[in-house]
Amino acid sequence: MKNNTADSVKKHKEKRSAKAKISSVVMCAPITIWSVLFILLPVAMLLFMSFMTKGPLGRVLYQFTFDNYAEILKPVYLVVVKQSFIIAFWTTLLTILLGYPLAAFIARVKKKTSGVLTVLLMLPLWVSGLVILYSFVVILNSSGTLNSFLLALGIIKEPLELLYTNFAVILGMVYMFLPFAVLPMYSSIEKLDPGLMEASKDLGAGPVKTFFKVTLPLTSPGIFAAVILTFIPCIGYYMVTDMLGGGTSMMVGNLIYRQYTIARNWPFGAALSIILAMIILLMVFIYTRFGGDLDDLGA
Amino acid sequence: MEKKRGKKKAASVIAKIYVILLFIFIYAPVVVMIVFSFNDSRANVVWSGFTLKYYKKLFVDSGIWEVFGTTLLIAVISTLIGVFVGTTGAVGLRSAKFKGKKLIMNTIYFPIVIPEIVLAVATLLVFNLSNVSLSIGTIIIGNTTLVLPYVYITVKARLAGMDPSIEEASLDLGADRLYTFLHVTLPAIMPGVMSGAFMAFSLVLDELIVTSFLANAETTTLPMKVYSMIKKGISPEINALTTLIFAFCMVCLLIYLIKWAFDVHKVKKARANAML
Amino acid sequence: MSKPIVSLVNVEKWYGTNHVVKNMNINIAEGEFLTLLGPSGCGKTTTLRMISGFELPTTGVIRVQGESVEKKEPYQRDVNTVFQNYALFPNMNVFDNVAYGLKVKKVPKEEIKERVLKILKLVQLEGFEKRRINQMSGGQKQRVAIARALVNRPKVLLLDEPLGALDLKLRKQMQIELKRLQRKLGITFVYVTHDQEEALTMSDRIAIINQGILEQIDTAYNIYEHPKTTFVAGFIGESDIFDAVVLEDKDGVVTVGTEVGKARAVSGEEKLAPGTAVSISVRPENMLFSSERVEGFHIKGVVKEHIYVGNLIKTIVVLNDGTEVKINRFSVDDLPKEGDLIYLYWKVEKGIVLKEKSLVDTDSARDIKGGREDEE
Repeated sequence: MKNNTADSVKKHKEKRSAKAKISSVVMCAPITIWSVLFILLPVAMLLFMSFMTKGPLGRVLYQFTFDNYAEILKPVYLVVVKQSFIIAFWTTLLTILLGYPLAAFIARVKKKTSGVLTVLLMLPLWVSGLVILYSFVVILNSSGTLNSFLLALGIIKEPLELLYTNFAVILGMVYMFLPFAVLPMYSSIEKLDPGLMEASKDLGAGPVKTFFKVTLPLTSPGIFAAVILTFIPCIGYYMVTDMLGGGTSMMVGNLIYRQYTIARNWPFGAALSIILAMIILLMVFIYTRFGGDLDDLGA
Repeated sequence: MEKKRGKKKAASVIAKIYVILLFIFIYAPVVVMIVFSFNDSRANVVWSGFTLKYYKKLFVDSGIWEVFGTTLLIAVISTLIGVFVGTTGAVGLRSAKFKGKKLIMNTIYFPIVIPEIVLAVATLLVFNLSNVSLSIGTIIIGNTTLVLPYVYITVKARLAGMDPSIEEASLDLGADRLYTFLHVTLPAIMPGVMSGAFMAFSLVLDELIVTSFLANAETTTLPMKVYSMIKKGISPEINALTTLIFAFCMVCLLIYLIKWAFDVHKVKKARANAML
Repeated sequence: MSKPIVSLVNVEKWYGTNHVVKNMNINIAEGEFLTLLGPSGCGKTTTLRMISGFELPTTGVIRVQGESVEKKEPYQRDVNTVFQNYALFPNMNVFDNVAYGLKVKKVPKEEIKERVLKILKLVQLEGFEKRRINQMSGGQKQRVAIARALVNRPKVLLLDEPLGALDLKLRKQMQIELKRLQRKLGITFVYVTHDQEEALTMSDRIAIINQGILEQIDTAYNIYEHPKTTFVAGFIGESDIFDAVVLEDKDGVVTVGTEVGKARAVSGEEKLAPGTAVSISVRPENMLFSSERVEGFHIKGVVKEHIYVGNLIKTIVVLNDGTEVKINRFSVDDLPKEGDLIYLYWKVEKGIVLKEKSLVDTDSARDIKGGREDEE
């Protein structure tokens, strides 16, 4: 091996033993193969399907078209998209507003208590989110628990129409996503150095100013993670709208679900999924750009 | 000074009241579910007397047990595969160097960032276009993909907290890489693996969207059954079953807490001894 | 030197475009206590990790007992390491930690027990077998780490800043214990540290490394008394260093001219031609002063201040070009007053001539020695 002087500045490859390389390949193989076969390939298929043509009787004609994307712009569907975003927006806002103080509380109590509170928070969803959601039907029914309770107390004279409204849908959604939103906010509040708040107060800022100038900006990654964890599933989670919204409210998730069940229009369903995925990947991209960690979305 | 302390105390009381109210909101549906599992009326709306007949029915009705069995089977197998793939992946990708590693590492997060329904539809398309007929197998694959990132993330976090030189120490002492992985790395990341497995298992148990898209006509899981029953008007057996699962979880939590308290006591004692 | 147990021949290490170890040549004798000393990031730990097998040299050969270890995995090498942060297995107790290497090698159970108990006795941890690692103090963990390596009877023990995490008092105590242990067992120790005092206390020889280059390898005495480079002179202890040009090299005395005046120093092995650029290094405790000119010296300065550091007094003298020179004295008698003009000198044998390293490029130096053909 004869190098010249210029070569001695070139990037040298890291030297690793053959056995180290083999063991690394063996360890990486399962997750790499799985990710390619069951994540990348499906997404590619979805993209492919979104450009196909709908055939008669729910069949798919393999002819290239942009029609599925154009279809989304029809007023019927735009209404659904708008509705989805409105419901997702209110759900997210309420979840964050309700969850942040709880997260702050959990972050402040003793380690043991915070562990117990976290488990208690997650427990109902671990057991069965669906059944518990159904309890809302029982509670919100015109002759249900809440109405009977309020009637008995004499607060209302007529039973309230609560079920099958957007109110019921948002209530159910907040219920479903609150625990998932609290966790990342909790972990970012817990990481906060209490010295910073004291420093801020020491420098003459009141509690309100300290909160908006110090606490809030520093815990914003946790809040943004919570936003993503609420907003994303909210749009796709068709069961809540199905159970608590009756036929009145429909979300993009319901629309996609329909294309694969009743309407049998797979290409249109694929196009809807791609658009939904794009919007969400954009949000996630912004999230990581602002220093968010993808790992915080999983635990 | 006095006033300030009073203000602080008031704030703490308000905080406590707030948290209690929030937990009432969270547990109200649970209480309703439990109460109505003992309600002597099929219509799940009015209270008409105490009964245990739904619990009896639950134990006799073989249909629900079969569904329960299927659900458990799917959850166990998906969890096992997910734990295997996620754990080896987290360990392997930590030090590996290959083209496309970055792409794979980002791809792993897909199932948590895209809505479940998108993943379900996409996976369905793969099986459909490659002429694989739907079965329990396809359900397991879909669910494994769904839980993979959770295992990967928890194991990765645990690995980040592990001192990498203990693996080097093992190699240095004459153990090859497999022996090191099994005797040093794995025990060190075990808590991460276990919590990943626990998350995966509980997610699959309650998974409806991916499962119902990838199931054939013969296969039913508990969430699917629950959902179809809800759509028809719920049967209190489901309330009874969920109550039992809930009670089981509560007992597990209690045992864990007692054990934890006991361990803390033991460690404290040992520390005290070490000081002497 | 008898046949070396470890030898590094022309070892180079690159990380990408980062050249961290440059043409390292070291021979380590059997039973020797060698310390690799240098500032952090100088490549000493990388050198150690190449011997243990966790890093492979980009080029060059490492031999252990005369055999090249390039193809050997860390677990196939007859060397053991004591890691900086102990690296004890948290899931095992003390006994299992120490027994790990023997268990891997499938040593019979009875023998394992005997050897582990013996080594634990040696490091004064008798009766600690069942202890969990998180119940041990830092010093105890350190002993376990040493026992875990030594129980395998390695040919060479590598120690990577093993005392770095201990407090000063414990560190001093462990230094003596480690040295005693090494003498008793006769095992070769290769010890990495950035603490010069630790190196001077423990080592048979010290290898001083700076920016990946081996500056000097020698006994503690020679390193201190006869530093070969300005870096060594500045890194070990304190030195006053003057840039100079040789005027004359005659009868064992070198006369040089510096920016601040003439001076003298002792000749080296090779004769220096007039005009050669060199540095002259003098330890502050060897620096003398007088109110009148001393023959052969013409360096004068003004006393700026005295600093009392317990047992010695540092005097700072400002020379006419603005540089400051330190004088260390052990007594307060005859101190010059601040503001006094004094002449500096030293005994000729206390002035050391250092060849100007910065002017001699390492690559061309290698060429002169007839270095490897694959460079240049």
